[in-house]
Amino acid sequence: MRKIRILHWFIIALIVIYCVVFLSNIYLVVYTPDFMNFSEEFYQKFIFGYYTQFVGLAISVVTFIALFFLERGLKDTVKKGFFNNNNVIKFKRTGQLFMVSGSLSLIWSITLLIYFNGMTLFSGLSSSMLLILVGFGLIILTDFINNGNQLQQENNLTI
Amino acid sequence: MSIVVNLDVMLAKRQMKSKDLSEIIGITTANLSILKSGKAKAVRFSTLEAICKALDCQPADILEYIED
Repeated sequence: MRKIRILHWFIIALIVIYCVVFLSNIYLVVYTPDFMNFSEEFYQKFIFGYYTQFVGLAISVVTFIALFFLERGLKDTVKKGFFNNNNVIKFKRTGQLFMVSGSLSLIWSITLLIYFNGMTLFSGLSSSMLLILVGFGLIILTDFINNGNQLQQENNLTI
Repeated sequence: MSIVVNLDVMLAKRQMKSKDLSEIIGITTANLSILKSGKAKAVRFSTLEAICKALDCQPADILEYIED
């Protein structure tokens, strides 16, 4: 359980970092007129023009929501033990959101690569794949927890 | 479930209370209630042995198979 607690605090720290980054990005874009203030010609080179820079941010919102669900799932695990129905639902949702976020990130990286005719780095591959793998792993973990739940219930009902 | 627990019948025959039986065999009244209501998934041989000893009966007096 100590490792779960450490992971729980790590996830809380990640959520805080995400919030700080998100808020500072908003501050820079809204309240700093000179930030990313290039000519319209410059932005015309990008897929969505000025809004291209926000695509990555939008995808990271999905990851943030997934982290939020993961934190809630870990909190339930710390409070009620490994095998309970509440953490299964939250871990499953986290896994699904991680997979969505990873897939979107991968699609975005491929789109950029195609759009710039291979003149850009294919940097998102490893992180996107890792996110998809973690998501898939979490969904499989919920199957293990469900099985453990059933075994524990049977054990409790053995008199 | 096709296995029926007739513990209530045996307790009535022996004029024994559930609380007394639970104290003799060393299980909680809550667990004995689970056993009596048929919600139990399994019964340990040691528990069955203790019940039979306390009620002076055979396992067949407590457990009965009824086809669904």
